[in-house]
Amino acid sequence: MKKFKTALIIILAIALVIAIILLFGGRKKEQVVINGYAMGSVTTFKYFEDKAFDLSAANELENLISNKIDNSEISKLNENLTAELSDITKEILEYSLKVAKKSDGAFDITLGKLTDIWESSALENIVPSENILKSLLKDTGYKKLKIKKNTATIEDGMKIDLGAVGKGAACDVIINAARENGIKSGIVTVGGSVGAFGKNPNNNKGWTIGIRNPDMEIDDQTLMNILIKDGFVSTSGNYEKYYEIDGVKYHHILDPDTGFPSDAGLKQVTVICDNGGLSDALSTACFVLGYEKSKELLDYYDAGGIFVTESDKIFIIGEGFEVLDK
Amino acid sequence: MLLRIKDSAKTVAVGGILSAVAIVLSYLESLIPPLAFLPVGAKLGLSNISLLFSAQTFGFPVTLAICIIKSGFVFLVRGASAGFISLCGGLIATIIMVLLSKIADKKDISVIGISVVAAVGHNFGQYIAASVLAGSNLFIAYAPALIIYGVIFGIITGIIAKVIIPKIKPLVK
Amino acid sequence: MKRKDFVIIAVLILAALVLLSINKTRKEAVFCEILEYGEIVRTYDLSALSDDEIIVVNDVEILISRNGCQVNQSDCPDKICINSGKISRVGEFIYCAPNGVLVRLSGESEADAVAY
Repeated sequence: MKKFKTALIIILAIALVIAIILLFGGRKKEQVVINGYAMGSVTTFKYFEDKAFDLSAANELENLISNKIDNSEISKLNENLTAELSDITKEILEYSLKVAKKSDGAFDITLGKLTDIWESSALENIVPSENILKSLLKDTGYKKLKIKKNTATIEDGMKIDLGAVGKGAACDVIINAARENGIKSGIVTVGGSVGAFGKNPNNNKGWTIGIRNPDMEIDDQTLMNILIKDGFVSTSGNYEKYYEIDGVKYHHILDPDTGFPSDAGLKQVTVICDNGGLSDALSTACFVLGYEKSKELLDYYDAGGIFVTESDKIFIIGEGFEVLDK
Repeated sequence: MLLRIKDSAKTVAVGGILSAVAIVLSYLESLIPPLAFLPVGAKLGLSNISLLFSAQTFGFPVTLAICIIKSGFVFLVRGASAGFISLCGGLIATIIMVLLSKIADKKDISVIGISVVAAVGHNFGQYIAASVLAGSNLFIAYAPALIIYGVIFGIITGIIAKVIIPKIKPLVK
Repeated sequence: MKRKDFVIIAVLILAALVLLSINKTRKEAVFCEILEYGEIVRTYDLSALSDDEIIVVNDVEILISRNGCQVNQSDCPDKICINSGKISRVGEFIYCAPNGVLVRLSGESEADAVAY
C-alpha cells in the first residue's frame, strides 16, 4: 500500500510540474523594442538580445537623403544641381536609377517638383492643370540624373525626391547597423516598410508579416499574413497618402508620363525581396505599371509580389515567402 | 469530529483568538513582496489554517464568524472593494471547508484535500468578486494558474494544518 | 498521509491542463481597454500607437505603449495595480479595485510586424 501511495504522489507531482511548465510555456522570448521616428514615420526595431542599440543609423540616413532637410546631400543636389555623395546615398541613387530603367521609367525619383505642385494645389483645393503638369514634366526624367564616381549632377528645373525609397532604405541601414552591433536577429519597421533578419526566436519557421487591407473601412484590418525568412516587405497603395480636392481623392503615386496619380487598376502592391530600398522602389514601380507589366520586373529582381486590384482581385507571384491561412 | 459546544463563552473566546490568528497570518503574508509569476491574488493562504481548524472543530457558525471578521479587517485597512473581494473568497472557502469536514471521514479525505479545494475555491471566489466589481470576465487567462497555485498552496497549508490541528484541539476541549 | 485527496488533486490538475490546452494563445494583444467602474472609457489600438501615451483615470496613472501597459501611479492603499507590472498579452489585466479602474487586453496579433 505504501509503495502505491508513493507512486501516486510521484505521478501527481510530475503532473503538477508539467502543468506549471505549460503555464509558463507560452511566454514569448524576452524582447527589446526600441521606438523612434525616421523618414517622417514611426520606426520600431524589435530584437532579442541584451545589447544596447539605437535607431541613429536611420536618422543619419535621413540627414543625407531627405529633401526636407536643408543640408542633406539630396537637398544640396536639388539646390546646386550638383553634389558630392556619400557611399550610401550613391548606392541608393544607383539602384533607384536601375529600377527606373528596368521599369521603363515607371519608377522615377526625379518627380519632386510635381509632388510639390500637387501638395500646394491641394491646399487651395485645385487640381493642377494639364499645362502646368506638362511644363513641369519637361524637366523630369531619370536619364537626366548623372552619377560619376561620387558626384551627382541634375539638370536645371529638376528636383530629386527619394520619398518612394526612403523607408525601405532606412530598414536596410538599421539592419546593417544591428548586424554590426552583433545582434543576431530582429525585425524593423519604418512606417509601413518592414525588414527582418536572422532566426525568429518565437517561430522557427520565420517572421509573420501582416499586410494591411487596402480597404480602410472594414474592421478586419489584415488582408493576409505572409511568412518570410530574411527579407524586406514594402507596400504601395492608393490609401496611404492622398489629396482630397473637391471631394475627390487623388493618391500620391504619380505616373511619370502624365504627372497625374497613376491609374493602372491597382489598390495596393506589396513587394517582398532581399533589399529594403529595392522593395520600396519596386512596390512603387509595380503600382504604376499594373499587374501584367510588373511580372517581368519582379522576375528580374527575384522578388515576390502581392497585387490587389480595384475590383479586389488578388494576384500573388514570385517566391521567397509563404502566404499563411487566416 | 465536531466538538459539542457546551461552553458558549469558551467558543466565543476561542473564536476570537482564531480570528486574531487569521488576521495576523494574513498580515504577515501581505508583507511578502509579490512574486512576478503569481497571478494577482494567489496568496499562500496561511490564514486558512485558522479557518480549517474552526471548520474541523466548531462547524459553520464560528467559521463563518471568523471569515467575516477577517474580511472586516481587510475592509478597515484596505478599503471596501478589497473587503468585498476577501469576503467572497473567504465565504466560498468557508463553505467548502465546513461541508467537506462533515463528510471527510466517510469519503476518505484528509485536511490536505479540504485545504486544496478550499484554496482553489478561495481563488475563484476572489476572481468572481473582482470580475463583478470590474465589470469584466477576468478569468480567461488566469483560470489554470488559479487552480494550480490553489493546489500547491493548498497542499502546503494543508500539511501545516494537519500537523498543528491535532496538537491544538485537545487544548480547546 | 493523504487518502482520496489524490483523486481531488488529480482532478484539479487535469482541469487545469484542459483549460491550458484550450487557451493556448498567449499572444501579444492588440487592443487595450480601460474601464472605470465597469464602463469602457477608452480603447487603444496598440499596433497603431505612434507614441507612448499616459492616461489618468480616477487618480490612476496608466502608461500605454506599443508593447504593453502598466500602472505608474495610484493613490490606492495596496498598490497591487502598480505591482502588477507590465501586461502585454491577451486576457491579462491590471485592476485597481479601490479606484474601480481596470486595464484589460484583448485581440491578438498573429503578426510580428505589419506592412502598409
